[in-house]
Amino acid sequence: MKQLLLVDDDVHVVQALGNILRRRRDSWEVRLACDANEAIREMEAHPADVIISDFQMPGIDGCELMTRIERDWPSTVRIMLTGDTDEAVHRRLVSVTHALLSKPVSSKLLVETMDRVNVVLEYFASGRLRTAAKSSEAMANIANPSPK
Amino acid sequence: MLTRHSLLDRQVRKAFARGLPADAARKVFLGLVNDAYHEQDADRRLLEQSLDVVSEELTQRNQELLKQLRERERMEIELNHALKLEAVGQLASGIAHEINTPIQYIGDSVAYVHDTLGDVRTLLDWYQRVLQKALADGTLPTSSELLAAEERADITYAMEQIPLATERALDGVHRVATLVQAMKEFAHPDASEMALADINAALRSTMLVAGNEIRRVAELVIELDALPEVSCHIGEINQVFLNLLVNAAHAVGDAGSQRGCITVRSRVIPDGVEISVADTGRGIPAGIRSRIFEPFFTTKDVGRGTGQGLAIALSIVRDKHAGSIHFQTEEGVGTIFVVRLPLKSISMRSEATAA
Repeated sequence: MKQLLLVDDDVHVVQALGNILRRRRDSWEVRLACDANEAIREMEAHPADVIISDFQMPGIDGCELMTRIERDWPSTVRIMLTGDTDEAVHRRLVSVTHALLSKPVSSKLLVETMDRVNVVLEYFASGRLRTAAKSSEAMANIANPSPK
Repeated sequence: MLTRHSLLDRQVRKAFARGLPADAARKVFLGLVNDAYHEQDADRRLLEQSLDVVSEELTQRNQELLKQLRERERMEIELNHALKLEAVGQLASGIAHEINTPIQYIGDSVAYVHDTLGDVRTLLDWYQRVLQKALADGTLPTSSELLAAEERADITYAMEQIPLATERALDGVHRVATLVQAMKEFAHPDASEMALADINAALRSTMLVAGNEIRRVAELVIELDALPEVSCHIGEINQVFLNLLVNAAHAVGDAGSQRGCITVRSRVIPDGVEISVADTGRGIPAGIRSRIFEPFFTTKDVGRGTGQGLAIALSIVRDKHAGSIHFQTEEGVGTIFVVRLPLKSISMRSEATAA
C-alpha cells in the first residue's frame, strides 16, 4: 500500500479529496494535513510516497513546503494544487514539483493522476524505470559529452 | 405730400444758402434724409441679422456646453463606478481563490456521494437477491460472503462519510453564495439617496471580499460593537472599508515574511459611529504622511494601486457624509485608520423625510 499525504489549509478540501481517493483504497492510504508544519511532522513520522499540496496557504506556502520535501525526502512525488493563474507563480511551482493540478481539479483527473503516479512508482520499484533513466542519461552523455 | 414746416424751411434755406427754390431744396433735403434713413435701416437690419446669427451661435454653444456638462457628470459617475470596480478587480485573483476552494470540495463531495450511492445500490440489489434466495430455498450466504459484499461497497466508511460530505457541500454552497452576495453589493452602483444601513454588515461583507488578500499575510481580529443604523451611501462606505483593508493587507505584506495582524473595530461614539482598521505593518514614513490623501499619490507598484484609494475614501467620508477620517502611525509598529460617521445624514432630503 502506498502512502499519500494531502495538504490544504481548508480541512474541507483535504477531507473531500480523501473521499474521492477512497475509490483507490486498494492502492493508496491517505493521510491529511492542514498546514505545512503539520505536513512536515507527518513526513517525519512516516514519509509518504506522494504529497499533494495546495499552493496558497498561510505561513509556509506550498512552494516552500515542496522545496523542503525535495531536499529532505527527494523520492517523494510532489504534486501541487493551485488556483493561481499568474504565470510567474506557475514557473516557480513547476521548478519544485513533478506535476501541477489546476484548482478546481475534477475528481476524474485526480484519480487518473494517482493511477499514473502508481504506475510510475511501480516501474521505479521494479527498477525498470531506473535502468531506463540511467541508460538515457548515458545516451545523453555520449551524444553530448559534458565538459567536465 | 410735402407739408410746410417753418423750422424745416429755415434749416433748409440755411443749408442750401438760397441757391434753390424752397420746394426744390426741401425735396432734395428729404431725398437725402430718406437715403440716409434707408442706409441706416439697411445697416440696422444687417446688424440685427448678425445679432441673430450671434445669438443662434450662442444658443448652440450653450446647448453644447450643457451637453458636455451632462456628459462630464455621466463620466464622473462612471469613473467613480470604475474606480470602485478597479478596487474589486485588484482582488480578483484572491476572490477566484476564495470561490475555487469551496467549488473544489463541493464538486468532490457531490461526486463522492454520487459514486458511493452507486455502490450502496449494488449492495442493496445483492441483499435483495440474497433475500429472494432465502425465501425460495432457505439458503443464506456465509458471514464471510456478507462481509466481503459490505467491504466491496465500503459501507462502513460510506455511512460515516456520506452525511459529512453532504454537509460539506451545503457549507460550500453557502460560502460561495455569501461571497457572491458580498461581490454584488460592491459591484452595484449606489442609489442617489442615502438610506439606513448596517455598518457592521458592510464591514463583514468587505472582509469577505478582501478575505484572501488579508489571510495570506495576517490574522484578522474582528471586534464589532452593536451599532445603530447609519444613514449613508452604503456602497461608497463599503469602498472606503475595502480601501482601508487592502491598504492594511499591503502594509503587513510589505513589512516582511512574518505574519501580521489586522484589527477591525466598530463602536458607538456620541452622535455617530467609529470604525477603525489597524495593521502591524511598517507604518507610514514621516516624509509622506501629509500626502497620503492626495489623489494619484502612491508608493505602490503599477497594478497594485493608482493612488486613488485614500483620496476617494476622504472624499466619501468627509465631503459626502460629513464624517472624518484620520490616522495614527508609527514606523515599524503599524498604522491605524479611524473613520467617524455621524448618525444623522448630511443629505437634506433624507433629513426632511425623516422629520
